[in-house]
Amino acid sequence: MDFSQQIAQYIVTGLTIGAIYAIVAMGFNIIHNATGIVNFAQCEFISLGGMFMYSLVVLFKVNLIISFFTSMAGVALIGAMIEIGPIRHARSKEIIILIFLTIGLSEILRGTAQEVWGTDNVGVPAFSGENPIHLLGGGTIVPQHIWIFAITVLVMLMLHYFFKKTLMGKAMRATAVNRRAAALVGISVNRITLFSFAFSGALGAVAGMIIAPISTTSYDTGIMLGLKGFAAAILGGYGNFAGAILGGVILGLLESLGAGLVSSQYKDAIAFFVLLLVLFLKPTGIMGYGEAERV
Amino acid sequence: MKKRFFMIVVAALTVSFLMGAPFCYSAESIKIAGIFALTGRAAHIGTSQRDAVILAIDDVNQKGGINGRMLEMVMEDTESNPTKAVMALKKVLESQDVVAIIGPTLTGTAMAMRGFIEKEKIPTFMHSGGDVILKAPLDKNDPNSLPKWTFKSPYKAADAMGKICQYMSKHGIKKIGFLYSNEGFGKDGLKNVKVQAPKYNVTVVAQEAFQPKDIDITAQLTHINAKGVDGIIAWTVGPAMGIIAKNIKQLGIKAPLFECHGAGDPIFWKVAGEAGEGVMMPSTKIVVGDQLPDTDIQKKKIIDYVKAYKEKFKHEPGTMVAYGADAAFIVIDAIKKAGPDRAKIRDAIENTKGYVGMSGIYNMSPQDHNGLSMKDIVMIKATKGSWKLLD
Repeated sequence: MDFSQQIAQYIVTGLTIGAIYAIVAMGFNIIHNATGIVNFAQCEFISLGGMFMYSLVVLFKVNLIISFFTSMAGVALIGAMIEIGPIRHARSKEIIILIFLTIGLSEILRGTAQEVWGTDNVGVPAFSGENPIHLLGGGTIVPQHIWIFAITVLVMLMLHYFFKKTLMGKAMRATAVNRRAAALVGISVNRITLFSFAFSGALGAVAGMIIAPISTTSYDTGIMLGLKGFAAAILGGYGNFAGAILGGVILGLLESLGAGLVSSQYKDAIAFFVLLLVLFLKPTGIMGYGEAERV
Repeated sequence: MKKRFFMIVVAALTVSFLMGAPFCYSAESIKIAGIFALTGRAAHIGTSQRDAVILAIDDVNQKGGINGRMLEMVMEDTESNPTKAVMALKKVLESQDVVAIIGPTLTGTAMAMRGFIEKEKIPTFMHSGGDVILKAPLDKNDPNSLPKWTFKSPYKAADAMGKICQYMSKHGIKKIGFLYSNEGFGKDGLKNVKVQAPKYNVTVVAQEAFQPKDIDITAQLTHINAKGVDGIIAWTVGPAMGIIAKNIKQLGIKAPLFECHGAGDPIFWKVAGEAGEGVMMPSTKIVVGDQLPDTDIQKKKIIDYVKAYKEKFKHEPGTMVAYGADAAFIVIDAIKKAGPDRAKIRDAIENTKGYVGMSGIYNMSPQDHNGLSMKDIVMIKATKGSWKLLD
């Protein structure tokens, strides 16, 4: 295998992993935009997506496509329940209190998942076989990588359409800009928040499901992916959608190229060093605008 | 009304007290602590070792306990995390009167607990794979300050590595790549391969690390493959065992894959799926008990134990179960011989000679707190969802 083929392999790997980070980062962003909080239960959405998928496909032998959408809906419902229950009824609406609330909820969800599924890592069958595909420029992938790319791109396009063209999407953007003003013009902020949680749940589930055939899944797979996705969101500019994609891809590529070319022992360190560097130079992230304070 | 309620409560308390009394006042049970990785990334190992220990304790208690006293296990979870492991250890020692400890599961947690165990002087039989537990001096300035109270049941990782290298040289594999998880166990493996490989004329031409929770290891494998290796050793336990097998298949790497002595577990098939086919690894004999020659003195013991294990837990035991079982049986034997006295139990464990266990024949000594040798290890090959004994 010559050097250019190696590089091609690192890039393909980095892009796939980056795509997953990007979807996770999107989930963080949607809730942030609607509520201003960081939702730590996002990690659990990822694990739950994978575990729902595993239960349906492997344990109950349900058709793959049905399982996919059922799991998505299931996790979206859990997301919605989190909002209807604890988040909406929290007596303090302080951002920091709500963030702590999501940490607690995340522990509850993880603990419950552990009781339900146990602690073993389990495999989920690939969406369409595992025969390797050789790419033209060098590098090899499995069909699941194509699924990851395709689904990520599709999700991004749908999100773009949703936020730019639909009334609900516009209402969500309006709420992100100014909750009070949005409420004054007749947008139901509660409904927007509810919707954003369900939406994030579905996105987290998608991330968990498309990666499961490659990485296997367990009650706590989401922690690592969630952390990396969070880092990707920060890198790109927290709350910024294009930034989430960029942040995810950059982080994925840094890890993969870092492991291949510099040192596999320090690949995470390399990735997070770049993250810190970016935040030093541009504290709002690559695409972030920062918050305009009215004086 | 209030008074009546009070009377009912008093009555209920009295009845429950009387019912509980016979149990409370029989000979007090002997307590040992079981500290396992019940959650976290090594949970699959920790839980099967816990099951192995439970089976051993049930066995003793059904036969009437030790001198009429039941054996009781106080269980704690390390969460596969060194800090939590030390907290669990302190909690057990402060709240319970235990005579010995079985566990923990991971080398990292074992290293974190070791100093405290030596200070508290409590005999501890660990299941962790890494040799550093017994080899690394407690005091950095004094190379002779080796642990006195710590034992471990898995054979030395160095011997497992030696077994792989021996097998490789026998089958013409000379240039290898070494892939290790970037934590205690993996780094221990890296040290071992550098010592063992040259003994068998095997050269490590590439070494790569990965994080235990990584979801993709193709970058490292691409790098290794570019060096033209004819064998790869992957030193890790957990989901990465399967990810590596899958990634190797994806990249079309032809070099055979060898994994560590912890891979021979049902979890391997769960994480690797079909990609696991053909992966080779050193193992205890427990997973290939029925394939052993009849002359093997462990065979009967293994087959009986596996039968009891399957009856109770309804699944096949993995290679790690052997370590849990051996640790428990040796500690129980020591308590039988020495009585519930920490120092005497320690001496009894150290004097274990010729004990036929699931993992091999244990011959302990003050210099060797493990007691197994390379002879006790077999090479196995993952074949059709099960294991095949190699020559």
